[in-house]
Amino acid sequence: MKEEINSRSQQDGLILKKNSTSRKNQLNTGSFLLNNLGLITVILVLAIWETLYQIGIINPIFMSGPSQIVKVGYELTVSGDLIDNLLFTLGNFSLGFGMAAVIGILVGLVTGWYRPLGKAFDPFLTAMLGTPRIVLLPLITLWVGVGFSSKVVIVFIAGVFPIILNTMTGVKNLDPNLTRVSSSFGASAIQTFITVALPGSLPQIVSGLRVGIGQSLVAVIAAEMFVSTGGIGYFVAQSSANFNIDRVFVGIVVIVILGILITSSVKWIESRLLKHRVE
Amino acid sequence: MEILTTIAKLQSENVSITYPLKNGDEIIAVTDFNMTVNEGEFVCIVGPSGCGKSTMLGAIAGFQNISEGNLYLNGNPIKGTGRDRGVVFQQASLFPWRTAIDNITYGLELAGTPKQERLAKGRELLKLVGLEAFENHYPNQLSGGMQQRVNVARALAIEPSLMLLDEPFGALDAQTREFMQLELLRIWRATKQTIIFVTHDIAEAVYLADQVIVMTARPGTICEKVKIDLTRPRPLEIKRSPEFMEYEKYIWDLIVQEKELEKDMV
Repeated sequence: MKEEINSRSQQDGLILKKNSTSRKNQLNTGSFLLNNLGLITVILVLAIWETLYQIGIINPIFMSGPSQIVKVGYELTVSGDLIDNLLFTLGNFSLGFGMAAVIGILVGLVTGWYRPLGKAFDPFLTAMLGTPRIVLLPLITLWVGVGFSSKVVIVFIAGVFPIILNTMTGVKNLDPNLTRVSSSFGASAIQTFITVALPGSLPQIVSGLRVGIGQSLVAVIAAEMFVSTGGIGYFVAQSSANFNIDRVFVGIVVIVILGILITSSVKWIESRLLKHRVE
Repeated sequence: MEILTTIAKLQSENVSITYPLKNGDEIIAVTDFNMTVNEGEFVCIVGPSGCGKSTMLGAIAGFQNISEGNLYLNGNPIKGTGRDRGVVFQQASLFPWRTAIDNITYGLELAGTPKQERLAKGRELLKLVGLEAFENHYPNQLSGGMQQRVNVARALAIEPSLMLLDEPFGALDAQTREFMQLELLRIWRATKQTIIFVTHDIAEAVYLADQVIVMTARPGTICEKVKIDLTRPRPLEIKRSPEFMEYEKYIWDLIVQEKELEKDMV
């Protein structure tokens, strides 16, 4: 992945060079536009949206505007409503996903290492990976109640299976040369496991965590929207039921920011753990 | 009494290795393999692909069970893998997530050697293989030749009783390969190791070895043992000397003859 991105950005660089030599006078503006294209489109879309909102083309009953979202968002932050719900969501999410990560990695390592165990476990894994796990929410609510624990359980179930699958695949696809090396140095089974299987499958473990974190986030928001007494998902659902469209948008923006933060933190962890893959 | 005083480093007696096939038959990879390797000797096993030379090395390393015969290391039967043998693999089999020095000290880490001692040994070996400046480089930051130096150093780190090298320079380009051969001889002199080196390159075998074991395929067995009486140290130019070329031709003819015989039989 990383290499792909690198080569792509190199290609971009080449195209950029060609452009800049052909049109020397536009060199600076041209490259500036290209480098910040993402940011520029975001600003452009926001500006158009805001204009449409201000001149009244957008009906404020169905849609909010950027400045309005910021204003309402600020009010809700000051009043503490937003923070309380956010903390509730984060609490559900971190506990559920933390458990999914620990248990998912352990189960994945063991089922990947002992092939028969992996085969025995495979049907459940396949069934669970193909299913939108949110469908289990009514059952889970029935079993553990509406509160905190039902969210933790659904977040766990949403995140754990992709983590298991990726970890398992990582261990299965270990370079047999490397396990041979460890055995030639007289490593015990546990030593081989710790010094070869774990670091060797780390790239897949991390990509499993990345998939799992996304699915866990979907699960926590969805669960809060259906059965909850708090959280950002609950906040969005409640506001929508009350036709408070500004608050709905504030909730959505918070979820978007949450998603971006979580994804970039995974990327950061990835770059720290997989130092050897970066030249 | 004499037997007690002259225990060979490695002794192979009538060793056969067979693989079971799925249909119940067996395939004979190596048969009737007899060889003695003495302390400090450099032995090359050479032969065409499929002659069982790597399988034999695998048996000495302990990956491969033998079906018949006996294999002794310092007079003790070989049972499984162990840190008394240092193996250098064909492929660059370094751990990509470990730096050069951490790769080298891997065996010591498994043995529970304290960290300070490991570091000291690792640095000493980096110096021996000429990679002092690359201590903290990851394998993907090293060239193919450098990777194989680390590979050799990793096997040396555990101070094995016997070094086993399986076509270690096979993937390198011609120049790097020649240079690595020279380096390996230097390291061998410096460490006074006993080495068994498997290759399909006849010139490489003649250049490195005290003794070249020539193997033939189907069944994989020794066809002749050729003692190489070239002076040491051997500069690379020796490869162009008449004596060297004579050895090379002699071994080449042995292998070709066997191939011809094989053809006649079919």
